[in-house]
Amino acid sequence: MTVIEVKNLSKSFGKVRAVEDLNFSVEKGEIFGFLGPNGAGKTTTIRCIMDFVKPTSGEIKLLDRNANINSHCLKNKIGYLPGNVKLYESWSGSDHFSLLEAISGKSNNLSMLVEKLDFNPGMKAYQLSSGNRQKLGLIMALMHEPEILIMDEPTVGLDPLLQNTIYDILEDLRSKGTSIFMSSHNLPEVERLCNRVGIIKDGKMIAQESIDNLRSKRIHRITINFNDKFAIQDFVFDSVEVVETFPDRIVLSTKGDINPLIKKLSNYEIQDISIEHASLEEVFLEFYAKDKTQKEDKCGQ
Amino acid sequence: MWSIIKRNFRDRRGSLLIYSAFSVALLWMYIALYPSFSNQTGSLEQLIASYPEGFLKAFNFDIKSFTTVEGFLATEQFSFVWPLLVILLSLSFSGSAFSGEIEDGTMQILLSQPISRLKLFFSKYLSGLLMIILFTFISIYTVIPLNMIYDIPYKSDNFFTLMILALLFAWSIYSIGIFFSSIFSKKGKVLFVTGMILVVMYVLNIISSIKDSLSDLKYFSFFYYFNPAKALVYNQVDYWSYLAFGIVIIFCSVAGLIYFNKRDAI
Repeated sequence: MTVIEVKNLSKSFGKVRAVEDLNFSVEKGEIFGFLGPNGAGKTTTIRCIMDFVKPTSGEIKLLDRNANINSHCLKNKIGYLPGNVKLYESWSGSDHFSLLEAISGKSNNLSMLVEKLDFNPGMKAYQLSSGNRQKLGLIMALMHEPEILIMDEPTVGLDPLLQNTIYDILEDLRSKGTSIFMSSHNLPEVERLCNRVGIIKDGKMIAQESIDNLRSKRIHRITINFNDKFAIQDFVFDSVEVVETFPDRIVLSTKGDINPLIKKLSNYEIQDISIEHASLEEVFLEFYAKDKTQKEDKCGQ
Repeated sequence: MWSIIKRNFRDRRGSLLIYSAFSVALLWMYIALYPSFSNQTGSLEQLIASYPEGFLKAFNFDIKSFTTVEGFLATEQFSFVWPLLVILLSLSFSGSAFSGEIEDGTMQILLSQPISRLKLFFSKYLSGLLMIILFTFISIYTVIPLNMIYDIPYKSDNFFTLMILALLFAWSIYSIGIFFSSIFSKKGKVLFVTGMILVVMYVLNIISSIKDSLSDLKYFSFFYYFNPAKALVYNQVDYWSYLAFGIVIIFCSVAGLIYFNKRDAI
């Protein structure tokens, strides 16, 4: 079942086109990672989904209903966590919770969340550290057990301990069937949590892949120590790039299938070999490089 | 909706209390001074008669300004200090209503909740309006117990008439502020634009009373329609005052609502 469906979404601010012809969908129970550098259009897309800003064109459907027309009805089923949580500075955490409870009804899991995140609800917002502000934002997003959770860079600026707590909560939510749409530029986070990712650049979706597919496109970094000398031209072929060479050692970067390289290596006596899986970050950068090359080719033509 | 009204009320009660206390303190001072002024009625009447007619019109001075408590308060309190206080209060509440929330980023909290923009608009609008009504009531009706304390005769009907007129004046300013608050994303911009409009209106009213050829300019000024001396001394409000304030209130409120419903609220 599709819970978020974005069709041909475009949003301009005056002459600036923030998002252009965006299409993607999120299925029930999946975590969809929305990747892209700063200014790529991630936050604008999220704000359009939340109906904070009105799309210039296109359609957004949440749980099969138009998100702009039925916005306030749908928000009963949506939890939202902004990247930089904004709060009423003179209010305590409890004040924030009671406002939300007055609008959306009594929360069943508030005390559990407060306990799990070790949050002090009596402190005023202006007294809270950035980590505690994010905790408060997360509790506010989760306290009404949403069917869809929309998060804009949820762990930005948080320490690794708190990041792990949030990851655990999100994994738990996914196992209970909550659909999560999260923007991020933290690739290890996306790699750990997401089922699928969409990669956005300059307001356009340049790729959508399952995490497994993305991993299959992985780059390997291979360091080989030879017992004897080696011929560098043996390692010059498609999908292999020579990174560094030494008299008895070579460092290579491979994309995709590594079997042709292994076959070549069988001709040599090898002292030591190490194969490292490149991070998703390198795969991500590869997408950007590809997109850039395609653009340059078009300009050249 | 009531939860937002209640919250707003709680957040702004401090400024409401301060403004009300200041207004009541001034009122108390004038009422305490009034008996000594009324003892010198003769010389004050001569003094007032010596002022140019335009000056008296511009500042709502009347021959009865110092001979009745209503006239005295209309001149001293309700022609200058009270409008200034209510302008500041109305602008503060209207500026915070939408553009202040957008500027602080807290609008996201409200918009991510299951509440329509229509309800959100009215919650914010009504909470500010209720506080303005409360301020107007306190700052005008405290006159009655104060007059009783100092044993000064007063006409309660006239204070009710002033209350209606003052409320329309404050509501109009608040509506203009709400309109700009629905458009702009910075509170400072709302305060500046609305403040400038009021300054221009004030100047137009002064110019129109000084120069006969420019007298029609007064129709573009709230300060012409808001005549506390006429309301307090003669228990009268012009039909045109109701009409002018009513039109501004309806137009600005509806336009603000329509714009807020369609705008990018971040």
